[in-house]
Amino acid sequence: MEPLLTVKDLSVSFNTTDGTVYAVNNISFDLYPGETLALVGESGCGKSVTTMSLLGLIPKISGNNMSGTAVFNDGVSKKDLLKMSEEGIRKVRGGQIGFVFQDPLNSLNPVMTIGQQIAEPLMEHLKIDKNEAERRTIELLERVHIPDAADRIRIYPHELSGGMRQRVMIAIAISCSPKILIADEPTTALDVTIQAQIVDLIENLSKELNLSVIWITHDLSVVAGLADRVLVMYAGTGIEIAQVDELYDYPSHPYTRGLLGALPNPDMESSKRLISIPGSPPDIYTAPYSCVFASRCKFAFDLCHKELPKLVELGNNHQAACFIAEQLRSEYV
Amino acid sequence: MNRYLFNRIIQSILVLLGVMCLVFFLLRIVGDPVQMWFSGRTREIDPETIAEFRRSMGFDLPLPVQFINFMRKAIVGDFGNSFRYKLPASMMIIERIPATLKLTSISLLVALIVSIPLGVMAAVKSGGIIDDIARTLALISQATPTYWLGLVLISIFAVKLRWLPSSGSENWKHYILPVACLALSSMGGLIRLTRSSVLEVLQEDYVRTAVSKGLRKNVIYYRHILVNAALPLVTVIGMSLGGLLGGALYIETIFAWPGMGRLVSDAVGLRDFPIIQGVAFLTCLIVVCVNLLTDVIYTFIDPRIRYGD
Repeated sequence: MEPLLTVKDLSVSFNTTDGTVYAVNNISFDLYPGETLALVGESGCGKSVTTMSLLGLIPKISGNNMSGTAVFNDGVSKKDLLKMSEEGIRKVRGGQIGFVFQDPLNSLNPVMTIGQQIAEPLMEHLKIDKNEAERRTIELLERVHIPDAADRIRIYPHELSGGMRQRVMIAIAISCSPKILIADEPTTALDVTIQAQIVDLIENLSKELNLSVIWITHDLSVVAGLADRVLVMYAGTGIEIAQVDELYDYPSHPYTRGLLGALPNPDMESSKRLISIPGSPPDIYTAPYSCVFASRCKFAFDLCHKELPKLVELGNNHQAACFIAEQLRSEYV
Repeated sequence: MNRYLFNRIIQSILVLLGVMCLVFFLLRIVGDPVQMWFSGRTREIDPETIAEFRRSMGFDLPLPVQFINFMRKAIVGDFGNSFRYKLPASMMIIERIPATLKLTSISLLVALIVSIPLGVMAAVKSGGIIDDIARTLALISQATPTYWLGLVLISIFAVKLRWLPSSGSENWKHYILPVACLALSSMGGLIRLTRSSVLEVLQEDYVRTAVSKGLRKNVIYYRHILVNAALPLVTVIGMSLGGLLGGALYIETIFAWPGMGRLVSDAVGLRDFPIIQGVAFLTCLIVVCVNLLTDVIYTFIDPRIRYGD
C-alpha cells in the first residue's frame, strides 16, 4: 500500500536571541491510509513542532529554518507540503488535514458560536451556502455525540464543558472529510473519564471515515490502546519506530525501555517508588552530533558520545537509532 | 442581560450623585462665591449690594441647606442663573453643547480612523517600519500638550502660511486645526492599545485554530483577530471621550470655538459659579452615558459578559 504521507529528513530550527534551537532533527516517517500513528515523547521533544511544520503553522519568517520533504498523496497527485504556496497549503489545512489541539477552551474563538466555527471551514472548502452548512454542522455535532445539536449550534464555547468543547474541535477537524487527522495531545487538558470518551470517539471516527490519525501524546498507556504504529521522539530526534505490539514487546532503544519501565504497574507494590530515567534531556542549542540520549543511557559507551546513530532496521518494520539496538532486541526474544 | 443593564444604570446614577456632591463642595473649598464674584472690581461695591446679592442667590443660608437646595434643583437640571448674564445656566450650556459635541466626535472619529488601522498594521508587522512610525506617533501624541500644539499649529498654518483660519466655526476649514489637535492628543493611547491587544490576540490558540481550518487571511484578521482585539478598545474609546471633552476646554479657548469649553473657561475667569457647576455636571453626564453605552455594546460583542453577575 502506498503511504498517504511520507515525511523525510524533516528538520526545523529557530534562531533565537539565545542561539539556534534545533527543535526537530531529520525526522522521517510514513503514514498509511487508515492507520493511527502515535508520536510519543516528553514535553519539548519536538512532537508538536513536527506536525505543525507539516501544515505551515510554523510562521515562515527569517530565523525559522525548515528542511526535508513531506510528500502528501491526495489520491490525484503527490505534493510536498513543505514547498507548497501559501494558497496551496491553505486548501490542505482543514480540507485534507484536520487539526485537534490540546486545550479546547483556548482553541475555540470565545466570541463566535460553535455553529459558526464549524460552518466556517465547510463554507470555505466545500463552497456550500449558509443553510447547507448549517445542516451539515448539525450532522457533525451529532456525529461527535453532542446532544440537542440543532439547539447547540447557537451557543458559545464557554457554555460547554471541556469534553464537549473538545468534541466541537473534533467536529471542526473532520468537517471537510479530511484524509488525515492530527490530534495534538487532545486529552491532556481533560479529566480522566472524559479522556477515555474522547479517545473512543477519535478511534471510532477514524474507522468510520477511514481517517489516518497522527496522535501526539506523552502518555504511553493511551498509545497502547489506540495506535497501530508508534514513533518515539527524544530531543527532536526520532529514536524508534515500530508496530505498537512490537514496540511494547521488544523495546530496542534504551530510552523506549526507560519510558516503558517508568509506566506505573497496577500489580506493583504501592510502597515501591516509580522507576524514572535519571538526568534530564540535553539542551537543544546544538545540532545533534552524537547520540542524543547518551548522557542518560546506562548502556552508553565511547562511540555513543562520538557518532550519531542512524535508524537501523531490526526486522518486522521495526527501526531504532541505537548502536546496540539488535542486542537489546535479542534480549527479549 | 436585563439585570446587568439595570445594575449598570443604578451604578451610573450613583456616580452622577457623587459628582454633584463633588462639584458643590469642591467649589466651596475654593472660597465664598459671593466674595469671589465681587473681588477684583475696580469700583468700590456698596456692602448693601453684596448682602442683597447674597440673599437673592440663597448664599446666606447654612451650607447644608444650600447643598440640599442645590441638589434639589440640579436633579431637574436647574443650576441657577449665571451671575453675569442673568440667564439660566443650563440653557446657556445646552446652547453650546452641539458645537462641542461636533468638535469632539469628529476628532474621535479621525483619531479612530488613523489609530486603529495603524495599530493593527504595527502589530501584524511588529518590528517593521510601520511599527516604528506608529510608536513614534504614539509617543509624540502622548508627550505633546494639547494647548501647545494648538498654538504651534496656529502660528504655522494660520499666521505664517495663512492657509487656514485660526478662530471660529463657520465652515469646514475652521474644523481642520482644532480637530487635528484633539485627534492627535487621543491617538497615542488608541494606537498603543490597538497594537498591544492585536499582538496579544495573535498569540491566542484560537487564531492558530482559525489558520489550521484553512481560512483566508482576511477572514482570520477581521472575524477572529479584530473582533477579539476590539474588546478592550471599546472600553477605552468610551473613556477617551472624557479626555476629549477635557481637551476641548483648551482647544475651544485657543481657537475661539463657541462651545461648552470656552463657556466654562470664561466662567472660571469670571468666577461665575452656576455655569461652572452646570458644565461640570453635564460633562460628567455625557461621559457616564457614553460609558454606559460602551458597556452595553460590550455585551453584544462578548457573549461571556451577557450572563455575568
